[in-house]
Amino acid sequence: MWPTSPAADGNTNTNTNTNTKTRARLSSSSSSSSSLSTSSSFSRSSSSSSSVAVLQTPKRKTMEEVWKDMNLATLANESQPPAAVSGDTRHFFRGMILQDFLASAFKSPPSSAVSSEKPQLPLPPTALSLTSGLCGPFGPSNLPHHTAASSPFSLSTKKQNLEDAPSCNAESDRHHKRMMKNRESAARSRARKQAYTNELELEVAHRAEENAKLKKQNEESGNGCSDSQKGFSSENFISAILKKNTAHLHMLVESLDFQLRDLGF
Amino acid sequence: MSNESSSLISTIGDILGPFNLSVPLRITYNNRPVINGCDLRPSAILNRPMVEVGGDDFRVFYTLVMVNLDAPNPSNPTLREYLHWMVTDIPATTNVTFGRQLISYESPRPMMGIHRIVFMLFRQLGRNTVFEPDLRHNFSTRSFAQEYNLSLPVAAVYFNCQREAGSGGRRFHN
Repeated sequence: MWPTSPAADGNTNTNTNTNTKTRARLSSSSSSSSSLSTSSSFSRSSSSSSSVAVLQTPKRKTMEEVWKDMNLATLANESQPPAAVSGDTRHFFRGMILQDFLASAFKSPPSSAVSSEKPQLPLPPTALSLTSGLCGPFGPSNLPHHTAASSPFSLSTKKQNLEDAPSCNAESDRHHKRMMKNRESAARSRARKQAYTNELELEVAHRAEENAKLKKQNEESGNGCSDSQKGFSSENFISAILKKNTAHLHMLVESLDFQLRDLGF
Repeated sequence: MSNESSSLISTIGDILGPFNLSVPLRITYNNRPVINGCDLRPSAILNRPMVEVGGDDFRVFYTLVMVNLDAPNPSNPTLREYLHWMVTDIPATTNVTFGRQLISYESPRPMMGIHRIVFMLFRQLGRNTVFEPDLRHNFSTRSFAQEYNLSLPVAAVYFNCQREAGSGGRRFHN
């Protein structure tokens, strides 16, 4: 379990079960620009609530440590320039690296990710809580930046299971796109099947009709001589066609039977 | 007839319809007739088919158009429609060999998915009134017909085509 993020409104009930609630509070607080809760969670030098500040300090240290480790891992995996800038900008830069890191963690090709995948995957859940916790070091001047940075994470994790790897919007978009594509493909498949069944039925009907007609002709020509027929044996001719048609008919009916069985009849 | 057109309408009608199916059209690849919706692999359709046209007056001329509705990929048909073959001035009651080929037969080779390949027959106002289009890809049969006063298709036949080793679509039970 990753360390829980500090409560936005100063409540010390940081139960692991209330993580989502905490995140919800954080996301709502991130949208407000001037509330006390926002400043208390984001500002390091907050003087609004001393108790909150006290609470934040020890936790932030732990998170800072983990963040450092993770950042090192990032640098090891990717060729990112080290965060050499000092002051608030450094933290902000780290935030950006975090985003890029998470984005690239999913974009990296399978061949290169074999060795690096293990360290990456368990880290992002930690990173998520860190993001909200990292809001601490940011000065109030950086508020708009990390509001944008933190809210997608908090919102997207609400959507997905905490056990899964966290996703930015691109990932869920891709998933959605894939789902739509699959649906369309399934619809096309069904349409094809239906069309084929229709065709079979049609042909069965057609052949049956022809058979009936030919049978009738056969009878007639068998009983009496028909002037319309030519010199060759019309009877045999018709019977031959009849036989062929009947064979085809049987085949078609069999096919149709399979199709209908598939459809559940 | 209504059954036949309903299956055609549902499968290809939204792109190529409406239809005015009134003339028999018989298409055979290697002596096997093409049934609507049947499955033909690229190996079976390498060479142009025999096409027999009905009607009753050989002073009436038809144009045959063959297009792929799902090029290059049914999920992303950016080249729809792809023109595979076009023959004009086919006299009624004869076959395609009596006509004049405007676009040579290019055998379909789908790479991805199951493609619908459609043959359509149009009645011309007169002989020598239809001229070849510029490009094969992104062809529009409907606008082409409008341009050359071909009215609605008088016959249509389609089949499904996928790559040789493909295993999509209908499952065989034998």
